[in-house]
Amino acid sequence: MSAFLQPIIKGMDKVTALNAKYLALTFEEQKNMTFVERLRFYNWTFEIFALAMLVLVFVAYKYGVIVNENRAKKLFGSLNSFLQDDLQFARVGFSKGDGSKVPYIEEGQKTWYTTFATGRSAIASLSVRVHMFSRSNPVAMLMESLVNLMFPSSMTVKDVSEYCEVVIKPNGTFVSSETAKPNNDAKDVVNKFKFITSIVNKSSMNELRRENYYLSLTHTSESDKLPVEYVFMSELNQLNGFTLHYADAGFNELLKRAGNFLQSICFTDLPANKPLTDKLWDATQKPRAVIRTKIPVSEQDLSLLKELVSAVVQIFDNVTREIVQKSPQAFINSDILKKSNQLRTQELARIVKAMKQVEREMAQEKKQEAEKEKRRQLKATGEQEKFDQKMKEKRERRLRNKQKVRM
Amino acid sequence: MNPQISNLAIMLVMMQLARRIDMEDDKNIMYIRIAYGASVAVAWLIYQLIRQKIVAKNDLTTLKYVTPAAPMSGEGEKLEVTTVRDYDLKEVDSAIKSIYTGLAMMGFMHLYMKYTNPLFMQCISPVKTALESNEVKIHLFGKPASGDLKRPFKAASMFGGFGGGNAAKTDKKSIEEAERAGTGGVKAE
Repeated sequence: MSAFLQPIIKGMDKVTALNAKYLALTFEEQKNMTFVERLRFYNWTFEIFALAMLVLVFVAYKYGVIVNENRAKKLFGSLNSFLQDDLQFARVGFSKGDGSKVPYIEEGQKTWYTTFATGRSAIASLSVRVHMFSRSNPVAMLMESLVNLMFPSSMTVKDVSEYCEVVIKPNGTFVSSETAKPNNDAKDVVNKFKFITSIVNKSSMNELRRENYYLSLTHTSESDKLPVEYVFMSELNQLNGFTLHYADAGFNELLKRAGNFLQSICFTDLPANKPLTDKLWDATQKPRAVIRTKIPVSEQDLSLLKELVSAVVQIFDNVTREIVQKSPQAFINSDILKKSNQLRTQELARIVKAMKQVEREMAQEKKQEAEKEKRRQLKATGEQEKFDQKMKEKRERRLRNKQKVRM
Repeated sequence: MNPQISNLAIMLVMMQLARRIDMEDDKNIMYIRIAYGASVAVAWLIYQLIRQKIVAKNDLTTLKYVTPAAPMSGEGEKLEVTTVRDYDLKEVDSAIKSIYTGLAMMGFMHLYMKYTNPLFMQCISPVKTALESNEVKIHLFGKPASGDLKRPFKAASMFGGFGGGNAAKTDKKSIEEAERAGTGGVKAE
């Protein structure tokens, strides 16, 4: 151990040696010097070095904060106006108690950013969540990436990657104009969005499957209908055509252009975190679409993100309109819904089974613990010996009885 | 020839040679350092070349296989869904990483503990390992990726053919099962 500490001790000695001359002064000599003389005599090298380090840390912090903030400002500035003006959401961003507007919220020392929009035909809400590196703390960033390099499985993707996630939830209400009357069966319409189908970029198939429960229930299949950078991940092969069926003709070309930017577009109703109980299963089912991309940095990325969001909103528009107008050639037919329902019943059964198993184990553990406790108490009061004696007599009696029978 | 056996043979020869060299002589130490450094550099360059070739080829064919459960970590079987390109890059990167760990090891042994012998013993093996690796066979020597070179590669086992139990599974049934297992999104407590 001392061999490893040696260099540290040596270094500390060197720092002390910088001021050997000053430390060698006797008390009288120091007393005879004026304050300024003492300041001049002292070797400030180490202090200057420490100060420089502090300044460096501060500059790095400032730089990181500014970079993250600028990116967020640019992204949300242009995205919010796009949502409000082009996609016609009634409310975008947040408002404070005093009525002032906030375009986005930041959390976690400027690493998480969120905005929200609502109030539109077919869409209940749209939220954008962005995770950035904590650039303000380069040392922690370096440590995180080192740990990730050495133990790749110990970190979740969330900690080490930057991404932007747009979640769009349908509301099942379709209105063709501002004065049109909304339909009354919104709940039934939303209930038809119970399926999982997605288009996933090949570069992030594995992480997304690991991270998202709903994707780990799907088949991965390549298709000629998609650009070569993408695969379908759907619970049923029939569902693969869903996105392309409802998107407009330019969608494939958009996917191709976004090959280095888009990670996935998923339509799902199941949660990203695996539900461990049946209550959680019921509580976490929410039909929605999730668009996941890299952080938009350039103007080009921003316009791609906008196009992707508007494509997905359009898909919801088209699907909702078809269902509300009871179009006979709706893509989501009763056959698909029946099959997806079956899969959900199976999954729920699996979760309940695992839950029961855990419960049983816990009950057993508790029972054993209680028995142990009982024995401990008996021992403490001296009852245990009596009990043992009783049991011994019982055993002997049984043995005797057995012998009697044999004779 | 089996790489393990040739490694053993090289080691024996090198051991004999090492006995004849004066490891205290500064000049000899210099030569050995240069030889080792050159060997590592050549291996590193080979891997970087392969890396560039893989990126240029950009083979996006999807590749699905089930990795066996790791006995110590308590994790179950895992489905890997990746592309040929990403698989190759992963293999090459792990090879490059192992060069770095080797370098750190040798640095510790030689510079801190002052042993020159291990440095001499390791003069050949980085280049040899690089040239024998599957990725180099496929991308540098242009061998077809079939048979032993079919992805996912079988892990070389110490005891010849007896280590087949922990190979990655590629049959349709196990992949189908693993695909629908619903193992994603489990948050560690």
